[in-house]
Amino acid sequence: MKFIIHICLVFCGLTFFNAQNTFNIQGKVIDFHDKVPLSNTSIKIGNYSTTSDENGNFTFNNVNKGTYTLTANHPNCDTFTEKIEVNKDLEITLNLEHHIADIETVTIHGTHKNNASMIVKTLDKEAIARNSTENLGNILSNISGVGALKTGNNIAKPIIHGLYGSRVPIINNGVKMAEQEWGVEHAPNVDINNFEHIDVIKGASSLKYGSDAIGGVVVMEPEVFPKKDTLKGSANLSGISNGRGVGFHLHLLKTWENGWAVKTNGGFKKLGDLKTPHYNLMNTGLEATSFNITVQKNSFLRGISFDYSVTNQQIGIYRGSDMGNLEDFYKALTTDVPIYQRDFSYSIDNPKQAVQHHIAKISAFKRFENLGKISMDYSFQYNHRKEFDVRRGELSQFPSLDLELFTNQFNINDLIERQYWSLETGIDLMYQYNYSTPETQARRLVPNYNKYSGGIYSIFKYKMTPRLNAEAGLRFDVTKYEVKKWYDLSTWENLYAENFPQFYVNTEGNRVFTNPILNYKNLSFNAGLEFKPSNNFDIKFNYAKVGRTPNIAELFADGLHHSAAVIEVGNMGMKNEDGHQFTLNIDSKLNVLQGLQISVNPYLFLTKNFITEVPTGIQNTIRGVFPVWSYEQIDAKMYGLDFDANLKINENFNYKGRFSYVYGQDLTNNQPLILMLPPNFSNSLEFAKAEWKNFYFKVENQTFLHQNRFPMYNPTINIFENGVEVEKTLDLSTPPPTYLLWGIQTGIDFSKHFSAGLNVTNLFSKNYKDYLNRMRFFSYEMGRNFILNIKYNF
Amino acid sequence: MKHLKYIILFLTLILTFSCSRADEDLDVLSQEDISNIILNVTDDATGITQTYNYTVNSVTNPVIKLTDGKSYTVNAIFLNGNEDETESIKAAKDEHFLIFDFQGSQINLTRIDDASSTRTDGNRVGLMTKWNVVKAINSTSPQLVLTVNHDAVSVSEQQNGTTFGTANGGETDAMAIFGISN
Repeated sequence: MKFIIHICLVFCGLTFFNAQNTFNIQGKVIDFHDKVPLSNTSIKIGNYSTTSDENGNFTFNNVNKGTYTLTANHPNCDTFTEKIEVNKDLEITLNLEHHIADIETVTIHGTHKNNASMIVKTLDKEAIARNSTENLGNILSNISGVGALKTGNNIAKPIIHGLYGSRVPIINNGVKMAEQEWGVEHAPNVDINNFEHIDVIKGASSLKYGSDAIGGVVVMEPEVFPKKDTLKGSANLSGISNGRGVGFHLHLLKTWENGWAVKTNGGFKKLGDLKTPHYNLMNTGLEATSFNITVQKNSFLRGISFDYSVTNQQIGIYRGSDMGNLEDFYKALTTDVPIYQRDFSYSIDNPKQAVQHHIAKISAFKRFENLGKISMDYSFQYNHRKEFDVRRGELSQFPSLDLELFTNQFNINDLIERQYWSLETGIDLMYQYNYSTPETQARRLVPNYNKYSGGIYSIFKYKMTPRLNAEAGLRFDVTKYEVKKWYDLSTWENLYAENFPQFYVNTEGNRVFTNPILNYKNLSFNAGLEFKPSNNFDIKFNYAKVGRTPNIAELFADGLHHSAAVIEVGNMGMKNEDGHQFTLNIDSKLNVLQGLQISVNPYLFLTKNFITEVPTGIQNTIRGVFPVWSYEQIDAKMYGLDFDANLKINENFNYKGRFSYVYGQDLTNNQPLILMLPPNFSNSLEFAKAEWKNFYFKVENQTFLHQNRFPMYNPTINIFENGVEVEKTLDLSTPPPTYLLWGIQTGIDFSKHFSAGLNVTNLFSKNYKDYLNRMRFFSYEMGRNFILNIKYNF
Repeated sequence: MKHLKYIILFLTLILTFSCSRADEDLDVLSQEDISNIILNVTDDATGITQTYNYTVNSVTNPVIKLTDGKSYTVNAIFLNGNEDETESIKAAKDEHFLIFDFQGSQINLTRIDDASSTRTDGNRVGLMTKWNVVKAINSTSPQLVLTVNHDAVSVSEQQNGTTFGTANGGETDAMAIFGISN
């Protein structure tokens, strides 16, 4: 009996235990977006706690039945909290939002963590702050391989490895700028102070930005906003001696912990006539204003952003550059002292440019567990460009060029990231309308048109081994132009009537009205490898097959270019450019002194149907005979080398050097390509002592060698000298001689909020001419310039 | 998202805005170009006027017939297609100046403009001139190169070699070549 009671008790006890009051929980902690296991995560369920192992696995044994709050904590992650009911054994996966202390901005850009085989050089916040009064073209020329193609000092376009304009798109906060960029004297409409850093991607490796990004891409990024309640900003005031100018910039940022942020920037710059070492340049003033505002709500998982920005510039063009004909040009070339002089003035008269540019953008993104990060962008741009020439009587108040460009762009992009690979796919759509008003009472340089384009791209990156990354990208674009173009009857009949009769509409007098409809298709791809044999060595190699659709000027340009005394003519029959680019980049860190970083970047670019302008004849106009330059397609070969060195000599001294060489050859006509960046190098030595209130002092020397590879395109004129007719050749081709320039930069932080900087360029007031400045025929470059700026941060 | 319909409305408004303009098909031709330069040459003795019309892109240049030892009164007229540009030059007389270069021909020129084509700086534009012919044919191919200068820094009626009138700066608005013969 006693025995049976004992058995019953044992049975009872067993059933009691088998009613399961405790359970086991097994789980894994992984990163939300790339599914990488997160070790060292401390997980707590009620009072139970454990830590995940190196595979992200964790176990809880014998957890009492009940409802608990589960929290998971990992450095760099937001705390993960969830209610959990424990009434059976559980197997759970925790997705943590990793590495987001700040919030990413809602822009599409190659992130710094994952450039793979792209060659990216960055101008950081400090470089921008030290040169806050500069324009984009001039500030980017501090990067090896990048020059500034200028029309006077206030109009500068970036030229990367000899390529510019349509071949170097500019991405402004995720928006590809549409601003008549085909024009050599059309400066980008941006205020660099609106951006936290500027990336220059050299070469055609970035298919995401379009198939025309053959020279590279300039990507301008605003700052990343912190996710906390703050109000911060800065005010920056500059004085500029050369031009007696002033610059002002105000930046305000209000962020909230819930992810809302409002940012606004405003800027103003005014300059009067610039000065060469010996004389004032009449009518070279500038007035520029900019404003932008961003409202966004971002979190790690989703975000939406509204952006609006506007820039307004009035740029004076040196009076002495407005040429009537070649005889006028000859007179300008043979006088060393300028004919046009005036006392210093802020007045901006004809010739001048007035350009307004508006951008409005809505963008949004959402991260999905399996689909990755999907972003959508819609942007609208309005660009109104007016160019005023010296015109007769009352007509001088009307611009000779008045173009309005409306551009709509839509992009949808999906980025899926995993531990060993990432795949980025997207679709770009664009609709653009260009209107050239007849109120100018001057011939249209480019016609009215509608442009429709669409592109689809996909970029795959793969971590083959911890030391080897591979990447491949593919892009397909279609473009359609619908143009309304008036031709001279003789031009239409000689050049196009036979090949394009379907575009003819009607004839009026000696003018022909046509409606060309052109379609282009483009397939581009790239493949790259990045090999890191050690932490101190990094080799990147990239091959890109590129294609570019001709721009509106290359197809339909038609008119006299005053400051060049040249008639420019487009060609409707242009085909896509078709090229192959090879780029190699070797980065190494060496143990010299306190660290030496060296970067060597050779590249080769072979193109069929490369579009360039060459002189093709002459045209007799009422002003005289002008050379005619037509857009033509040639076979081109370009190669070069960029070299950068950065040596930390000791605690306080730092040396930076850079060198670049560009070789360009027109294989069809067996001569060098025009406007190739001359070989140049720069050396700078900086002394910095953080203990002295962040005081720094930098001396820089830049040397530009004479470009001895150039095509000879010299027009001739006949003039009467001493009663005898003689032929004179205008040397418009020979580049200027070698020159050296010195500059100083120094600055100090007076207090936590105040900092000041002084920048002196052309320290020794050297009289020089720059091959890439189209004004070099008429004047020398700017003399010494002192730029003082004071910044207040709060 | 409930905001989606507002976004779509906003987009539709933007896209339909300014997709075309009413006058986009119209042609535009330069309104200030000069297409013809006409010289009305009056023989002071006989009162007979001959007209010489220079057109840009014509195959041959007009040839002015002059007799040695005679004097002529010359009026310059400028056309743009069918429109008279001479008035617009007079209206902007301070911006214009004619330069006469008698190449291979010995002719003395004086300007006899009235107030309507005399500039504020006292120099006369040259729309009306008197030519005293010494020797019309003084070389194998004598010719007159007539230049219209626009917006010079300064001008002068002074003779400079074979050229009557000089301009410092400015650009050439028109250039005509006339042959000279007896």
